[in-house]
Amino acid sequence: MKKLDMKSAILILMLALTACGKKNESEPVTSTLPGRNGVARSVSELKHKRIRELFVVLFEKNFSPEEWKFVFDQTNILSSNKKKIRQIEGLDDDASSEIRGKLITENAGLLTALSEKSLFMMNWSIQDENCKLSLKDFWQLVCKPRNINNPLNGGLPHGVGAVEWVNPDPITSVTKTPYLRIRLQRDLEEPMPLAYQMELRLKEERITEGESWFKGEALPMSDSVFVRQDGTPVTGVFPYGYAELTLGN
Amino acid sequence: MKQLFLSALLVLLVASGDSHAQMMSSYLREQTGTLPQGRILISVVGVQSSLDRMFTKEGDSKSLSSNLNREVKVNTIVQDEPVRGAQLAGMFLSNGVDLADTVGAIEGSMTGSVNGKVPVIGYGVTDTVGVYLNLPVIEFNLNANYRFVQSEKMKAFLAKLRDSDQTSVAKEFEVALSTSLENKLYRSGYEWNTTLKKNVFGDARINVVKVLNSGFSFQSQVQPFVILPTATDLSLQDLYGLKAGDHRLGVGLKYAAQKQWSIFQFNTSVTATHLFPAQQGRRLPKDNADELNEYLDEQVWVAGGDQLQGQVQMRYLFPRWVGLSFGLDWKQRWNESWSGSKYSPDLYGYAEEKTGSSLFSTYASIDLNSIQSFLEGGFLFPAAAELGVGLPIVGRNAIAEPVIQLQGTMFF
Repeated sequence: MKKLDMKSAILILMLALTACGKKNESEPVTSTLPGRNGVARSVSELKHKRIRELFVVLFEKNFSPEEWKFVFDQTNILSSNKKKIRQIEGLDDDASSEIRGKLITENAGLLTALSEKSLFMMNWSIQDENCKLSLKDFWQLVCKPRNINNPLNGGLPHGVGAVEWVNPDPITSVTKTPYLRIRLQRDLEEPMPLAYQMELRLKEERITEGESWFKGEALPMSDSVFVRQDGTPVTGVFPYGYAELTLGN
Repeated sequence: MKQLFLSALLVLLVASGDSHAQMMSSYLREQTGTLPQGRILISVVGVQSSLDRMFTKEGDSKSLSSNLNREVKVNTIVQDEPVRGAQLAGMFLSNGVDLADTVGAIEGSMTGSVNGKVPVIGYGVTDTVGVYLNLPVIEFNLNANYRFVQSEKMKAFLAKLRDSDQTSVAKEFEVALSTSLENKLYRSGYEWNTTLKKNVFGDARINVVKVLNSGFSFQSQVQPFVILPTATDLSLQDLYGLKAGDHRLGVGLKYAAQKQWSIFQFNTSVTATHLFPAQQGRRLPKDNADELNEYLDEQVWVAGGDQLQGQVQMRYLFPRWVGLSFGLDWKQRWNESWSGSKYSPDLYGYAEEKTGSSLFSTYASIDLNSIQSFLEGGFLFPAAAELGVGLPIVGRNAIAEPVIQLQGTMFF
């Protein structure tokens, strides 16, 4: 009887100890991390595509938040106007033509305002350059200028290295989502001091029949040299510019 | 002989003291005495505790998960980006988001446990002098998760981006926000593990017990000891900062006394520990508000961290093989002193303030032993087992969870 009492006492103590164990107060929260290798895309999807339009803008260092706000204000209106233009595309009534004309004029003014704030701006279309994706040892951008007098030809850079899809690690990479990487290079040609290499990180924004529209960033290499409008060479450009690209047949 | 056996089984607990860096309410049931000459003792003490709640440096009991829960302001994001901060600020301002607005909140959960096993081996040099060696092996288990919950303001901002043909920018922002905590940890040189399980050694301790008084009604002893820097896992990438030992050479002295009235025993002890200075890697806060300790210095001269511990215990002895104990335990660890040349002295000062800890706890236990039966020929081996629980009452920088302790001992 005494032994039984002792066993009971031990059992009660053990139960009491178990009850002292802390219970979780809340359910574990499920991580919302995206899969790091969830995208498998091939550049061959874009084979023989040509650049319809390319727009790159870079800025000087040490912009204040207010100066950046001005830049984004301009680009937001530009984006909005482009959307409106696209929405009335194909309409040939007078009202639509008039609206389109006003929007195009407004965009030209916005681009001028942006170019005044920028250190480097490149803006050309298929009429100025013939750039297409070709498969040699790897997929690369091959360009031939058509209109060398375009003042926004960016010094006619050529593609270097492979054009490829990159699926970055969202934790360790500055860019979080998959992007198309295109590298452009402009070699030094005296007397013009302009010489740069930059990486375009482009994300597919919209696909229409025969056309893919990309938006993203332009990351110039730190040893790149750009030229101000007054002809002064500048190194140490702000490392995150803006890029827009349209690919089509 | 009987008295010495009874005494010796409890001395090992003295040897298996609070060797891990995290202060917890582990208890040592005190009894004076040591092994008879030529006898060997082998024991394992198992300690288990949850890691859910900790006492902060201010003394509040706080869930570990609460360290992950925080509101994120636009300003926080902007200030965390040394290169792109102004650009991001401009983008937010251009889209109607004020820098004081809330981007959202990180909601996290963190649960875990610590399991310690402390093997002890003891030898009776004489009937009044014994040597004991213990080496803690600690297992840490942690599960952590988090998610980012966008504020209404941020949802509106992202919707505006999508509406203006900037879906990819909105997506980039969403991913950046949902991975913001891990990105921050990565940039600060931490490893983020949702499931952490590691087994590490603590600091080994050699104890010499010298019995001073061995009468029935009053017994006392002194116990000098040496701490050897055997602790492994000195990684500075561990986000949780869980350490199994200081990895510093140390010396200490303990005095214990026991008074017995009939079947009641009153025990008390005082232990002082001094740790010698050593050069070690340390994490430092970038400023007084940095709780993440983003900076890292591999060569910090660490001194101080001395400790004092006191206990009082009352034990009720059943006539043959059962004892019930109740005790109070107080531990104090003073701040460490850090110096280094990599950063400003202020940063080492900020870090030092977080190093001290203290804990006042109580415990209850039941112990069973077969020594009496062994002496009477009823058992093959003299052995003992004890099961108990320690309950923290107040503390600072210490584990605020109950600790369950199980111990088995055999004599040879």
